[in-house]
Amino acid sequence: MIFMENNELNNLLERMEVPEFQNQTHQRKLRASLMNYKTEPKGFAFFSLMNVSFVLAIALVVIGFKGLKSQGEPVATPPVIMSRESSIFSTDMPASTTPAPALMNNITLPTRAGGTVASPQANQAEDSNAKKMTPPDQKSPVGSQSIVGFTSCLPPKDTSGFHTMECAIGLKADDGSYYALLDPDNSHELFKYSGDQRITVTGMISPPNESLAKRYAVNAEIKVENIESIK
Amino acid sequence: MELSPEEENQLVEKAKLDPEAFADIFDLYYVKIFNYCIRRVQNKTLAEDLTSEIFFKALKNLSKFKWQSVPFGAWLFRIASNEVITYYRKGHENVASLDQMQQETGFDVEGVGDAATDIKSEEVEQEQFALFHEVSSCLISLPEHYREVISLRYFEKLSILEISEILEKPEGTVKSLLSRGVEMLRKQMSIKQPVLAPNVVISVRK
Repeated sequence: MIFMENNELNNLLERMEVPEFQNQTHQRKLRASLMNYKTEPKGFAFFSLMNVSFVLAIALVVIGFKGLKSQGEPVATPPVIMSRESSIFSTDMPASTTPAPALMNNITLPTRAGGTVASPQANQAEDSNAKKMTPPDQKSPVGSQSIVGFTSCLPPKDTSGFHTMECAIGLKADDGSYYALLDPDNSHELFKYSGDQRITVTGMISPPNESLAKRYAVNAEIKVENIESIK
Repeated sequence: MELSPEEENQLVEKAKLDPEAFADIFDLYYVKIFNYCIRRVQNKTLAEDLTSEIFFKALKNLSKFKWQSVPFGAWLFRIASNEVITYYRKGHENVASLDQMQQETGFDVEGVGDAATDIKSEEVEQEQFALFHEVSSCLISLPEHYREVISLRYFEKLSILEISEILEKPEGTVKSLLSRGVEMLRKQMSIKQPVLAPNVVISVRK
């Protein structure tokens, strides 16, 4: 064969006889299958699956995002806290994420009966349910303000069971809302003001810390800066 | 049954609207496509699978076919060619030789009737297809694009124009591929000379 030229082989190939095969069984089966074939089922199924997957993925992202928000995760807006000094808290911020002001640490509130309101540290173990006591959507005044009202024992949230005569002094404002009064060094001598005395309390107002919110139905807490008796 | 291009076009357009009309097209082209596949892959079962895949793809994509670009037959052979190329690209380079094919599948490549496989062909002498056997076995060692043009030209007996339509290549390119392919085939056949059937050698020496 080494002496054969390309054109010789080409001529040979042109005349080459090629066997022809028939496969009637396969032809018959394939014909039947083709006639039963519906238009583009595979493609349709694939794209349908893709569409469903895409919609599910979007839905999961949306649900996940809402779930995070409902669990009280801090979000970009509104701002949670500007600074500890200004004590401006977002009124929309859930209680569980509200940092307890350092003002309440290691202090006792004098009571009319000589008792005290326990400090938050003493009740930390009970604070886990605090967020139930302060609804996230509760609106509380914030910043330094003056509130007019009468001194009053703060109303306890739990009215069941045994009660002592303990009284945590607070302020019942003219609109009926209660404020816890914080006077860490007792410089304002809260105990001097009796329940029937109308006063104006000026101070930094912030949402109640978890311990207070759990025990008393208060609207906010006031770090007392000044108290004036109204004659 | 041979149809004129116009008749075939009408049949294809009808099949686009009525899938059952595709049966007529299938009957026209089944033997051609099956033979193309079996000559390319030299395996009966594989050729059946490829043929099935080719016709299913054709039916599925029939609405995309436009007569203006290529005849329907060329379009169908293009699908077939792509399927075979895909098969080889998946790592099936070393297909069985014709001898292995006969042993493994029971398929009678010489075309002798075989009731077991329902393969029927003309009763022919072994020598009649000796050159085909030899060319087929040598083609295996050639690169795919040479195998493709040689198969279409010398096995399927298609014209250069038809091949250029199937492969979407200019006729000049097809001629070049054929020329280089035949050259490579000649070298392969020279190497394999001892196994050539005697009558083939004699005919060459003439």
